[in-house]
Amino acid sequence: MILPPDRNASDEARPPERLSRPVPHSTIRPPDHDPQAPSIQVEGLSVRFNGSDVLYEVSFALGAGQRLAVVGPNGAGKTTLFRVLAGLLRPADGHVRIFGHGPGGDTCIAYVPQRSQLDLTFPVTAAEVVMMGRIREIGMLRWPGRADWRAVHQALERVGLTESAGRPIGELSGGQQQRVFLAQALAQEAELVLLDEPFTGLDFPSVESLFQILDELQASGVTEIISTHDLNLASERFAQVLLINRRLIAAGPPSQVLTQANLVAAYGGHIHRLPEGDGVLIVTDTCCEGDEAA
Amino acid sequence: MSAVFAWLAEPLSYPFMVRGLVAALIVGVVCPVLGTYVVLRGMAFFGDALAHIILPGVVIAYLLGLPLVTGALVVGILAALGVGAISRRTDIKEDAAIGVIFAGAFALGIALLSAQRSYAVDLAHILFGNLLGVSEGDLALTAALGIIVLLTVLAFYKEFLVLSFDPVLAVTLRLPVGLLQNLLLVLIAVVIVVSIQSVGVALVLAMLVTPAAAAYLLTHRLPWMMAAGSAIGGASAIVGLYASYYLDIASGPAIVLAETVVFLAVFLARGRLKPS
Amino acid sequence: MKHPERRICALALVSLALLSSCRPSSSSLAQRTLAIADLQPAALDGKPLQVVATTTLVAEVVRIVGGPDITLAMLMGPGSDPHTYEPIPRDARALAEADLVIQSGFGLERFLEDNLLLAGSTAPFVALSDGIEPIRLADGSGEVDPHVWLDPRNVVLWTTNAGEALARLDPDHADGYRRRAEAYRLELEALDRRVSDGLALIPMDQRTLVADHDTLGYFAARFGFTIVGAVIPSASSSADASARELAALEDSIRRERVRAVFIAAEVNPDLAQRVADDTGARLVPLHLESLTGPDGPTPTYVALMEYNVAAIVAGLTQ
Repeated sequence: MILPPDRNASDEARPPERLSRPVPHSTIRPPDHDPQAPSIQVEGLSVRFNGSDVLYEVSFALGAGQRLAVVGPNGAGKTTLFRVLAGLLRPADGHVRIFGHGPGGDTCIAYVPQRSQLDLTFPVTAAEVVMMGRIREIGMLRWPGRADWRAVHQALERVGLTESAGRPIGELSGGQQQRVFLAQALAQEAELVLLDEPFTGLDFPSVESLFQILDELQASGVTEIISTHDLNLASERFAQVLLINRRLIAAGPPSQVLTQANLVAAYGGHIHRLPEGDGVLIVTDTCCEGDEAA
Repeated sequence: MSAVFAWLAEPLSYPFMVRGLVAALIVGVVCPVLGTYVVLRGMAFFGDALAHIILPGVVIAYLLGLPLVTGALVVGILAALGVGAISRRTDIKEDAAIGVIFAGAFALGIALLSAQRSYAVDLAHILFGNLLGVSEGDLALTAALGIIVLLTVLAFYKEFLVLSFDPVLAVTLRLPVGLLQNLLLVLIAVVIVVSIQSVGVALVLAMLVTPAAAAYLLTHRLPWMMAAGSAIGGASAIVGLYASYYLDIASGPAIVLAETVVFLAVFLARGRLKPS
Repeated sequence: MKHPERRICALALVSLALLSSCRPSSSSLAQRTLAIADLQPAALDGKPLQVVATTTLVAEVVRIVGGPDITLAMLMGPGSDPHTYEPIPRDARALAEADLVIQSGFGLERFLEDNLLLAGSTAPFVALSDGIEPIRLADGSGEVDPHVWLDPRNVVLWTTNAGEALARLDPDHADGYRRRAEAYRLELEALDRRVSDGLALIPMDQRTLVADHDTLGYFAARFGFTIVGAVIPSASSSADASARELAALEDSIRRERVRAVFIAAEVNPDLAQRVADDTGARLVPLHLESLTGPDGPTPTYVALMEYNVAAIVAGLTQ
């Protein structure tokens, strides 16, 4: 259940907290969650880059085992939001709580960024990439054990890549690579999975198989936050949607969020309204990944 | 047959050749392990710079009468950490910042050496290696450092792997990224120091990069890449040393030439292999 | 014109070639060096004769012979290795102001060639080794060994040459120069006798020498020694050893049962130390290339020869 942004909450009295750098961990502790709190709670999140606001006072909350779509035009700050949640970025202002901890806390978060940044000619196999997700389970100065290999093979099986386990990552197709990184997130046994534009460039069957895995994950209690610029996908496959363009525009079920008014507010001049039969066909400029200030 | 055996055995009847061979072998085997990371992460310039930055450390150690390895290690480790810090923190592009320090430190070393006014030979040895002058103490130190480096890489293998392949993942997995990165840089500094006696400052980059680059053309599996690199490096050390003995050429450059020939052979052969 | 860029390029290349060929050819120093007999008196304008000496050993002879009547500048400092000496700007100034430049000769100053010739000096260059019978290196390369000063009789000739050179350039003080030269010659002849007597302690069959490079040729010829080999078989300490040459040397040392490897204290003993360790011979430093400072063991030539003889005797008899 999503709480709409509530600017009159008494929480406003709480001073914004400066977050510390992500704390490195070398031991595994069972997560101790505050069962009363929503799993993700973001309040007044602001991120500044080179003097300008990349995110400004974004607030939302998400319960455990829920799936949230993050949508907005290019440069809206979607990737920045993910990086804050993953603990890679320090916000200038605001308050982020994940299962009751800050992003640097104990929680197992899997962050699968947009694919373009990695050197895929690196000599690793799919299985080795998946095993990387288990590095904390294995611990320092230890080698992967039988349980770890089992988890890796199970993860590969869930994404349907068992035959490709021993192949170098660079030889797999884009869709297969995407599934490898998803398997990595599975092997990590994360409680929160952040996927940044995972559907980009995938054909319809691949999108379907991806959702199959995401459904299974969600059924096992994993919280999912996924960004996409495909508004149809957001409205059809997600129960909660977060529409941002640096600021929060709307949050809630797709029918409430993806309204004409909200879309105009979010996409601004990128909207073309074409009268079509009984309704209005709205076309937005959603092509091409922009350079989001990260 | 016994003629071939005699031909192989002759150099080994001299202790200085045996010492030189063992030292070169250690260097040839250990360097490509770190060299693999250097090649995969595009750190060749950094490696070369580090080798040159170490020069004043060697010179100062010599002027103070300390073992050269001490000076080299101290400066090398400081340089690795310093350059790492600069490249994270400055507006100047990383390679320009490194270039500034590279050239300045090298000039400092040469200036200090020239103040001695009589040291051309030792400069040649520092720049191009002095395998014939390896003492037993040098050998012991080389072996010890080589073992420490290999054990460290083994211990942190999976962490270095994640750090090199996906630094973002390393952070989200809460690995001590700063520490690991610095550790890797320090390991590179240590193997450079160890290699200076064999091939000198000017050629140590080749010991790091050339066998690893050849190995990269041969295999797509990281552990095999390291193994192949070490095999090429070790074999080249042996071939190079024998070549220097029988052809009367300097040993350090002979080893590097052997490695380069192997690389060229692999490079040319690869063109005919079906891309796997 | 059709292709102006090409003509400019060609012009640039030709200019570059011409400019880069503007340097003294390698035999220029030899051509520039005069025989002492050809020297003419210099115009001194009431000032003392300004003399520049290249090495410490040359400087000592010139200082003794010249006495108070000259102003002497020395290029190389105490303890320096003449084969690898790098000149500094002060050297060029001294050369430019000199009335006479005195070298050791026999190619020792070859590395200084460019500096000597381009310093803009109008002074005559002479070599003290003028008239000494050269010994060529054993490797058949035809190169001359420049370490003539290790035979005291050669330094006697140096003294005579120095006296003559100064007398010709500065006839007003010729008596003083010749007088002091004669006195020093007597000292050197006494030294020569002492050295012979000192070396008599070494039996003839143990008079074998191994040095770190080809330095002891004249010494060996004068006092009846055999040179077994050198760690770096070259007249210059800036050369490097090859593996096979080291191997051959170690074989020779073992075969001839050489007990000591003599090295010049001015060069790096590293490689020679390895050879000594491997063959069981001892490493004995000698002062061969230059004098030390006043606090060192060999501030004068006489001290240098006495020190070396003592060390050689000790090295070969113990």
